Amino acid sequence: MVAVLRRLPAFEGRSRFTTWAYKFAILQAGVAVRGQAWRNREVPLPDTLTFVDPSPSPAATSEAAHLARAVQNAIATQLTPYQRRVVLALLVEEVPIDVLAERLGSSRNALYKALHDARQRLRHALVDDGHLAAGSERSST
Amino acid sequence: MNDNTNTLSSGTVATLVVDTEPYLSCDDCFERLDQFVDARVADPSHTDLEMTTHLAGCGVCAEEASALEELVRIHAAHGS
Repeated sequence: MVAVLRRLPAFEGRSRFTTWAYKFAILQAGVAVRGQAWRNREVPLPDTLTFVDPSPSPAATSEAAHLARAVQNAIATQLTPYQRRVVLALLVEEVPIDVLAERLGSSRNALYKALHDARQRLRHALVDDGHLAAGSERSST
Repeated sequence: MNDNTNTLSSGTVATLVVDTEPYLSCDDCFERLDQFVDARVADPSHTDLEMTTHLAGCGVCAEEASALEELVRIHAAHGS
């Protein structure tokens, strides 16, 4: 409530007031829940990984394995050490971005930018090697 | 150097190579989230490329968007 009242002058009426207010409540609740869940957990920061493909069929395994190995190689060779640790922490270890930001003394924005830049490097490398078609892997929600 | 190794599933591969262009920061996503959710609740076919791209690439922002949309729908269903 205090957080919403403090931001009241910023409400511009471009959405329902309740939606705008709920947004801050969800943010605060989410930060609290994720922070509590990770309070006593060590945040893993690996810089290497291996691939395990659970696909059942040989063809699917082969195709998926080729791409995964290519991604693994790109992670090892195309990213800066910082980008590699951010990518592996966020996407492989599934550390929430705000938890990782707090542990690294960074910010959600900075980590997402690093993740974005890393993904672009991985995609360019995979497109160059023919493992990914240009313009592929856009997820729709 | 960290000697730990981790498995990489084919599902994780998809999240690693998802295209997150056009770029939108988490702060800008949060700034626009209420408008986006209201628009989607009013019209399920509403699209916003920057928002949907960011939500496809940021798990925490996607969770917050999903929670907000659910809350808004519940609020609307109760006629408030």
